[in-house]
Amino acid sequence: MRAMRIAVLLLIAMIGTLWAPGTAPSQAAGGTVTVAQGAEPATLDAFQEISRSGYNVTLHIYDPLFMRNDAGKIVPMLATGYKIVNPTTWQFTLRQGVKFHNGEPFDATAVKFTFDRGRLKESPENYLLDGVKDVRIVDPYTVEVTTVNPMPLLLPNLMSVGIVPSRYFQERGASYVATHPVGTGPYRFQSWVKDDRLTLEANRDYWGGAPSIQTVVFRLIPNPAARVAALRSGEADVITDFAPDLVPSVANDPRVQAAVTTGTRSINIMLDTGTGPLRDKRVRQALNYAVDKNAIVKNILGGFGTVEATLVPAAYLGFNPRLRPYAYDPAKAKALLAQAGYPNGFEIVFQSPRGRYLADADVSQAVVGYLKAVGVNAQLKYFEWGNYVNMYFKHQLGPIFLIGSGSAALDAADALENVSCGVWDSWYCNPGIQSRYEKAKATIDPDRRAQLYREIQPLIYDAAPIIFMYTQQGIYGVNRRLNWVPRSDEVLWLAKATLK
Amino acid sequence: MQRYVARRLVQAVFVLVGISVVAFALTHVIGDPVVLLLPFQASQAQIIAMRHLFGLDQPLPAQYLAFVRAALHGDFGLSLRQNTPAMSLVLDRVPATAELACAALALAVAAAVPLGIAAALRRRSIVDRAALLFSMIGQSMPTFWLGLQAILLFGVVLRWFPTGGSGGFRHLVLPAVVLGVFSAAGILRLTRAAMLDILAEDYLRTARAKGLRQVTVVVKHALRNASLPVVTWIGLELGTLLGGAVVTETVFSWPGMGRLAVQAIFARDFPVVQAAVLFAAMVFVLATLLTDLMYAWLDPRIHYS
Repeated sequence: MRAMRIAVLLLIAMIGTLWAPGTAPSQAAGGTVTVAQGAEPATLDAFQEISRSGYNVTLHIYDPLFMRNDAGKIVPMLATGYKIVNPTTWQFTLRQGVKFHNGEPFDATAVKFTFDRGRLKESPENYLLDGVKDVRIVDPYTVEVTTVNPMPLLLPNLMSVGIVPSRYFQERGASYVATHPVGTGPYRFQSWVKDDRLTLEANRDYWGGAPSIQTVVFRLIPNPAARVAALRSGEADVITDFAPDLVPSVANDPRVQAAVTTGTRSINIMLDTGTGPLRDKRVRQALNYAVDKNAIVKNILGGFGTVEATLVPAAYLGFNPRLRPYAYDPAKAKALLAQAGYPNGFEIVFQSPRGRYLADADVSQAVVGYLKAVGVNAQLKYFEWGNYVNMYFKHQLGPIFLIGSGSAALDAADALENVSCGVWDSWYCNPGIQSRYEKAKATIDPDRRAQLYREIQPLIYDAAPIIFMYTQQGIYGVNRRLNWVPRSDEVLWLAKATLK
Repeated sequence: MQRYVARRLVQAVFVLVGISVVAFALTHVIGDPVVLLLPFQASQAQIIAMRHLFGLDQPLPAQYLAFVRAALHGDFGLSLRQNTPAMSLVLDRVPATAELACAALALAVAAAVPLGIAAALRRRSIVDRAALLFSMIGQSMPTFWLGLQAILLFGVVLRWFPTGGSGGFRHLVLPAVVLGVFSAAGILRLTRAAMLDILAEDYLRTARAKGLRQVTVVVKHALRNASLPVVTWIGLELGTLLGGAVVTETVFSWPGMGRLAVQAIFARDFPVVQAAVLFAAMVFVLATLLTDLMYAWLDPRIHYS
């Protein structure tokens, strides 16, 4: 009988640990970890902040319903599970007993409030929830979301939507919340000296187990060399956007190291396939053969990049590992140009931002050099980013231009949109590919969807609507006293980090 | 005197209005802030909704009038990016900016004025040559380079000072010195030149001839007369520094006005650009006025009415 009782208690304890996805609350927490980034959040309002460096901060304060674990798998956070009732209806069950930092209970009201506000057209987050038709509270811990069309990206998109307390938000207003955030996350907001430092304190009552590190400070250090200096002097424990040319400077420093992830930002050179010589597939393939992408990654990015076969990088669902990138073959490029009727090449305009992406100006310069070697005389024009992005949104860039892209959902659909029909941010349209793309992105089962994406890519590869370039690797500098590794989705997450 | 000041202040209002028109027009022709706020996946409907939210779909003159009307009530609008009042973003940075500007300028004056005088008194001596060399290097050396070298030496190798950020006195030392070097170079050169001019004047020979001590001759007779161009320079420099020192602020991660303004321009955050420009203009106008008033104090021949 007694053994029975112990067994039952053990079982309850086991279920208890299963229920909480985090580790058991750590022993005496303490210490301060300082993260230095090149930019700080514009606001701590979870709806407004969509930059990577801002998200690194807000994700510590606000929990989403789902998140990726270190292995990249989607795991429940404030949700405990989901059910797909039919292709356009999702039911989410919510975690019980969770409180916001101000004591307000977390429940379905908060989720509905968050989603409804995110769906407003004025919200920068709108694109994540654009296809949502209605959010309905079934009971205090169940929410039903209906979508206009099947929306396979709902789950990965929800990872970028931090849940806010509805009462606090309505009482205080957005402008106040922008500098006084309250969430359910592993860290509470402490203070913020804008343009300098932002301090978070561990949430001792965190539902996933209290974090081991007591204080996290996010410092803004815009200059890359100054960031490395702060790392080497011990003032920063983690730095982001470690400039490749500075990585060798810490090689002999026993206290710090560089850590690298595969990266989520792709850099490509878009071709306006509707104008001039670029209408011919052979010309576009020739441009792909003409550029030595490996040499660019090696010499300009210090090797911290991956040359891609298409515009879908390895970190995305739907990556096709069987395609090999176009080889560097100037002779073949010249032959293709001659076949297409341009034995002496042609003149064209090449546009590039300067200072937006890692070494963007140098990369564009190098590409222009390679094009010239096969007879294509590209006139290079640089633009300040604000101007450039205005031109991008107005479809005024081209015929050749460099652009970077990323997908918050890490899904090929976001990348393939750049070569789809009828959208303003595409410069290519092929009805045959389009129908496959539409079918793929409406497929809810992730394995099936990935398969469909993989089948599309050989067609894109052959059509070459882009000079496929590379994915930037994420480079971090880390003090060795910290147990932390960067994640493949480039989310900087310190809730599970520890100090040695 | 009071009438003069009053007149200058009235003029300042016109200056500010002129500046606000120019700043408004310039910021609005350099592009749409909305597309900088949104991810590439954003839809056209979202862009339109956001432009409407910020009132950017109104004609430009209407936007300007709305801005003026609100500004007259002290409301400079909300930052488009940060969603907090634009003017308070600017005013929040005043202490840090003023701290850095005053420290840098005080260091510069303390070093450059005596050195300039010494150089002029001992013309072509080793002191003079060293001063000129310092001045040349100080003006031609890029601030960001000097700043990074200072960070590496004093922050990383010696660990005497933090590598950046704001906080106590220790945070202030490196940026103030680096920023001060550039200002000092100009002040030194000007002090030296002004002193050289004055030292050749007849009345100084007279002063010496009547047996005054060298200190009295230099400080009371020469320096006071040589100080007018130097004071002008310092006044303008103060106005400039209070408007923000972008490069130094960036290298040392100093939360000052310069970086705020430049970031606002890059982000097309119109309300913040307006607030920062107007504030900087106001400071500059006041610094110039103070400089002019200093003239009258330094040179009794100058009267304002």
